[in-house]
Amino acid sequence: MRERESDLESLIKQTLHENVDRIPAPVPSGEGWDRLFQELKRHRAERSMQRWKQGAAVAAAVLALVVGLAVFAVPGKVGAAGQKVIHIFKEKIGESLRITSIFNDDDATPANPDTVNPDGRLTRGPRTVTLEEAEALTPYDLKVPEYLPEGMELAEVKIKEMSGATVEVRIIYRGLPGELQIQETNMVIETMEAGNSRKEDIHEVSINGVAGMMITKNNATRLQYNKDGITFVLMILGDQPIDEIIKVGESIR
Amino acid sequence: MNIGKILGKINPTEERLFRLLYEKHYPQCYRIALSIVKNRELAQDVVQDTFIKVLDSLHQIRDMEKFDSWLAVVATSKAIDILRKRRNMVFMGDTETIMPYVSEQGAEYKTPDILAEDNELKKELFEIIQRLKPAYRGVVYMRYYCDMTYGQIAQLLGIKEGTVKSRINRALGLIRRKLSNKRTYHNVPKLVQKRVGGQDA
Repeated sequence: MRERESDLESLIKQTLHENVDRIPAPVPSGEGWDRLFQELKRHRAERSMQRWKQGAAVAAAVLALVVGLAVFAVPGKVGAAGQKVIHIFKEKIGESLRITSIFNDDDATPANPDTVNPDGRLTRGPRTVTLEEAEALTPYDLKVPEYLPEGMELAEVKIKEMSGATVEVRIIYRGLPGELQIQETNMVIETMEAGNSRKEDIHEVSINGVAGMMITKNNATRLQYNKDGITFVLMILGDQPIDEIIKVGESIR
Repeated sequence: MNIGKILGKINPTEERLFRLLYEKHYPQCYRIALSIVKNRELAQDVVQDTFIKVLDSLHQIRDMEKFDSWLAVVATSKAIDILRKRRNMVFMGDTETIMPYVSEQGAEYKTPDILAEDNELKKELFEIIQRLKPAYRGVVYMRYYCDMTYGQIAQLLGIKEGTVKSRINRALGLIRRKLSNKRTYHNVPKLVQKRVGGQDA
C-alpha cells in the first residue's frame, strides 16, 4: 500500500512538472511591466508608510510609558521639565498654542476687533501695550506684584477698553516655572468661573485681609478677589506650590 | 512634495534588475498561475501579485539560484489566495481547459502500448488534479510541484501542519479513487510503477 502511495505521489510530481512547464505563456509586454512597476512603487510606499506609522506608534507608547513612570517617580522635576517644553513651544508658536486649563475662558483674543455697543460707545479689542502705556490708559491705579515666583519675567501687557470707563488690563509674566497672569479690571466681579471644578479644588483664602476664592485644577491655579473696587484675577499655569499665588497676591499693594 | 513618491522610490539599478527578473521568469509564473486558477485574467492578476511580493522582498533572498523555486511557491500561494477570495464568484464560460501534455520521454525504452498507457495515465491524472477543489489543488501543487515540506506549506498558508497532511491525504485519496474509476490503478504498468516508485510522502 505504502509503495503504491509513493508511486502515485511520484506520478503526480512528474505529471505536474510535465504539464505545467509546457503550458504556452505569452511574452511579457512592456505595458504589463509598466503597470507592475507602478503597482510595485505604490505598494512599497504604502509599506514604508505603514512601517513609519508603526514605528511612531511604538515610539509614542514608549515615550508615554517613560513619562508616566517619571511622573510617578519624580513628579516635581517632570512637571518643571514639562513647563519648560510648553514655554519653548509658546515662545516658538506664540498664541497658536492653546493649553486646556481653567484659563481658557479668560484668554484674551487678539483677533477680537473693536466693536460698537448698542449704546453707541466703543469697546476696543484687546491690544498689546507697554506697562507704562497701560498705567497711563487705566482710570485706576494699576498695581504690579512686588513678588514673583523665581524665573518669571514680564512678557506682555494687554489692555481692553470696554464700554464706559471700564478697562481690563492683563499683565503676563513668563518663565521656566510656567506662566503668571494678573488681570485687573475696575468692574467688580462678584462671581468666579469655576467650570466643572470639583468641590475639593475650590478654596476660600484671605489676601491681605480680603476674602478671595482659589481654584486649583489641571496644573493651574486661579485666584480671584476684589479690593477697592478693583477685581484681581491671578492665574498661574505650571507646577507651582499653591502658596506662591497667594504670595504674589499679597505682594500686590 | 508627494511623500508616497519618496517612500516608493526604486533606483534605476533596482528597476533594471527587476525588469530582467520579470521578463525571464514571467512565463514560469504565468504557467503556474494559469494551471491553478484556470483563467487567463486571474492568472495575470496572480502574476502581478507574485512579482510585487517577490521583487519587494528580493533583498531577503540569499541564494539567487533558489529564485525559481521561491517564485513558484509565491505564485502557487497567490493563486490559491485569489481562488479563496473569489470562490463565491462564478466565471461564465471563461475557465481555461489546459490540455494535458503527452510525454514522449523515454519513448525509446518503452513499447508503444506502454508509452500510450503511460501518457493516458498522466493525462487522466492531470485532469483529475485540475478538477480538485482549490484547497486540495493548492496543497498538491505546493507539495508535488514546488517540493515544499508539510511544515513550509503550513507556514505559508497559516494553518497547522496536521491540516496540511490531512488535506494532502484526502487529495491523494480522491485522486486514487477517481483514477480507479477510470481504470484499475492496480493495472498501472509495472514499468511505470518502477520508474516513478520509491519516493515516500
